[in-house]
Amino acid sequence: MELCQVAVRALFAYVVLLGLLRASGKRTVAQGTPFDFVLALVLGDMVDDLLWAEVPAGRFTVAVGTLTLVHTLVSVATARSERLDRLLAGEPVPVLERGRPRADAVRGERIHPSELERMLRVEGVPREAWAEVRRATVEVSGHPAVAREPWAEPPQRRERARVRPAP
Amino acid sequence: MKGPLSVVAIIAAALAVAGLAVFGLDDETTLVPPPEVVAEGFLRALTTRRYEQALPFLDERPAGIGQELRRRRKAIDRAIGTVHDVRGEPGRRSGGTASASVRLRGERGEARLRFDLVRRHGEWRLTSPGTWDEGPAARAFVTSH
Repeated sequence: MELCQVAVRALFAYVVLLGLLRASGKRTVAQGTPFDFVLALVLGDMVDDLLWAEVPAGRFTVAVGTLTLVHTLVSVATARSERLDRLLAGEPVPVLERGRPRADAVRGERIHPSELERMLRVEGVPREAWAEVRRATVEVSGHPAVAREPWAEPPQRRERARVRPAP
Repeated sequence: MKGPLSVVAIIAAALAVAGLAVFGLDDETTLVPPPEVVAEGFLRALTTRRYEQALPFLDERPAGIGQELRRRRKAIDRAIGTVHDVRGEPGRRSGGTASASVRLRGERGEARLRFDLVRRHGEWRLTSPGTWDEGPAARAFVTSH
C-alpha cells in the first residue's frame, strides 16, 4: 500500500512539474543563468519532500508554482528589457581578444590561465591556435563561446564548391 | 503574458486535484502527510531545538507552549541524551482521529512517545506534545542499549 502511495505522489509531482515547466517556457530550468540552475535544484529538493509525504500536495503545488510563476514573470520582463536582463543575468565577459588573454577579465572571473587553456581547448582552440580567435567570452551560463577571425573560419559548403580541386 | 497565465492555470488545476483527493475522496495519507510522519516531523523539530517549526504541527497552541516545548526537549535529553534517530510508527486511525508513536534513539538509550492526532482542514495535527508510551515512569520508557 505504501509503495502505491509513493507512486501516486511521484506521479503527482511529475505531472505538476511537467505542466509548470511546459507552461513557463523552455528557458525556465535551461541552466542559461546561474539562477536557472539554483531553481532546478530547489524544485528537485521540493519533490523529495512530497515523495516522502513530508509536505501536503497542496503546499508543494503552491511552493513550486510560486517559484515557477515568479521566474516566468522575471523572464518575460528580461525579454522586454535589455537593461533588466543585464542586471539580473549578467553579461558575457570577453576573456580573449585578437588572440591575447585579457588579464583583468580573466582575474575578474577567477579563471586560472590553465583553466582558460582548457576551456578553449574544449571549444576546439588549442593554445597554438589562439591567434585565430577574434574574441572568446565566458557566457552568463559560465560556458565559453568562441568567435574566430574571418580568415580562420572553416569554409562553408558554397565556398568549398567554388574551390574546385585541380584536375 | 501567455506563459504566466498558463502557469497560474496549472497551479489552479493541481490544487483542484489535491483538494478533490483530500476533501472529496477523503484521502488521509497519500497527498497529505500521514499521522506518523506528522508526529516524526514534530519530534525532529523539537529535538533539534527548532521550536518555531514544531508549533505548526500542534492543533492548539495555548499560552506558554514555547516553554512547555523547551521542558519536553530537556526531559528527552535527560532521559536518553542527545537524540540521533527519530522514527515514526503508525497507530490506529478512524474517522477524523488517529494515533501514532515515535521511537527516539539517543546516546544513552531509547524512548517512545505516543501522540493523538486530529484532522483539521484535511491535514493531521497533534492534540498534545506527546506522552511517554511505555510505562508510567521514566524507568519504563527508557531502555538501555
